Amino acid sequence: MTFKEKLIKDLEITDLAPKTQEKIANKILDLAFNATIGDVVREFSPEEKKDMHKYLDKSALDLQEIITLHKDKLSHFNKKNFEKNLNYFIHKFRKNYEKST
Amino acid sequence: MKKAYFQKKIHLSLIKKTDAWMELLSRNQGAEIPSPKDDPEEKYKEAHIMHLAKKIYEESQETEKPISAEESKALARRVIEARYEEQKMAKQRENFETPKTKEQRAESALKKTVAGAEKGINKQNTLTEQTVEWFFMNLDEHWIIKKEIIRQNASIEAAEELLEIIEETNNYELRKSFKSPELIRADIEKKKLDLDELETAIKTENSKKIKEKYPHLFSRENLLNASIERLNVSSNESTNREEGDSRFHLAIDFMGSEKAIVFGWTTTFGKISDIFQNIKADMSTYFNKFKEAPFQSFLVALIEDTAKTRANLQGRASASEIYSQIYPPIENEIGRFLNLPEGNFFFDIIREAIAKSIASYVAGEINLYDQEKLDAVYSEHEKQRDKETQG
Repeated sequence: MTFKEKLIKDLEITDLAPKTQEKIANKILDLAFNATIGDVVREFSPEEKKDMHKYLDKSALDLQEIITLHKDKLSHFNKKNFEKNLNYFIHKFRKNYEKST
Repeated sequence: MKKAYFQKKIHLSLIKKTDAWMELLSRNQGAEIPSPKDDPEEKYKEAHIMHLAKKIYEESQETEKPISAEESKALARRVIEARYEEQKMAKQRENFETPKTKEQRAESALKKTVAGAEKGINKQNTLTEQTVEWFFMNLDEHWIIKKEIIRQNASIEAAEELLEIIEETNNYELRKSFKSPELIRADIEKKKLDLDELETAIKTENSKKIKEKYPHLFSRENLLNASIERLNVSSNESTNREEGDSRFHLAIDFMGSEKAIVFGWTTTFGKISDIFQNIKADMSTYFNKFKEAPFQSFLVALIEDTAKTRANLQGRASASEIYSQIYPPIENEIGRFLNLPEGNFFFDIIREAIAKSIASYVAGEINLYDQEKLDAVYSEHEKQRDKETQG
């Protein structure tokens, strides 16, 4: 399972159209990246963020392995903060989704 | 005529029946018939009206044509009732909307999530911009308090939102990564009290009293934090530099800024840079030169410790060995000195930059700007630390 597939599962949107799933997962990832920006990821250029999306999309590796493999680009990446932010936005989205029923 | 008469009679008898039924109900339940005034929503509305009326009355007293309390109340009632009516209509319209598809619901949930996040990020950016603006202007006590009020407000909002999410979720991972709901709630209460006090102070006290009342807001640490926020912005500009180079310069800039606060922008950043450039030279020159200033003494103490480490390890230590020896005390010392929370971006880069550069200089085997070697030293230390953490 790729990182993004796991994220879609965590977001509980597997029953939606694939395009919507993709869109939501990408946006939530962006939010987590941007929230991490406050302390670290401000160093990331938009291209680098796109690259990160690419790794998370195609790779079956976990986040730590991705960071280690691409250390030259991601050495400023704060994994702990990113995961914390990602968790936060997953739950924020879940809450809004449930409220909309 | 007859028809109208009977219709009226039926209507009256219905009213009587309803009254009797209500009476019976209240007797059976031992409760009074609810009046609209007991309705919590109605009570809230009344409180809302009174609040606005007070505001209108007070404001009108400062104008050329002050209005009476009764007039203020009537005006407030009209405004609030119109607002409630509008809300009610909006709610009704919402209920009549056609049911959304799953995709539409998900999209709207995403939209809300993004809007909330952007609001938070924008707030943070505004704060940083304001700090930068302040940094190059004269010190204004009221401005500092206002900045603190904005900060407290934002942190209360964030904490409330976080609390809501933590309470609603059973996710162990999420709960584990934050404080317990009780602690967060206690934090919020305390922050709210502080905020009230600050808001009163800014309205009633003059600058001198404010400074006396809130020395912590004008403490060296707080001014230091303002300089960190400034650096947060300047770090954007440093992305084109070599990573280690920019990190090290950031650390030097940071120390320079702090020094500049202490000495009123009179000294140059170069002095601190000199310390590092000449770390292998005679330390005593530097000890005497910078002993008086608190931050310099701190740095000097670090250098002194490092010199001792070097003496102990002379002839056999590599940069990574020295690094692993001096890193923990440096980490503790800097954390204590800067009073920054763990995980703070600048806390990390400063301690890394200092520890890395001291270690490499002391070992005499690494050029400060040799990024590859610095990284190798650092990653070795990281691995070691991970092992210890896992162990």
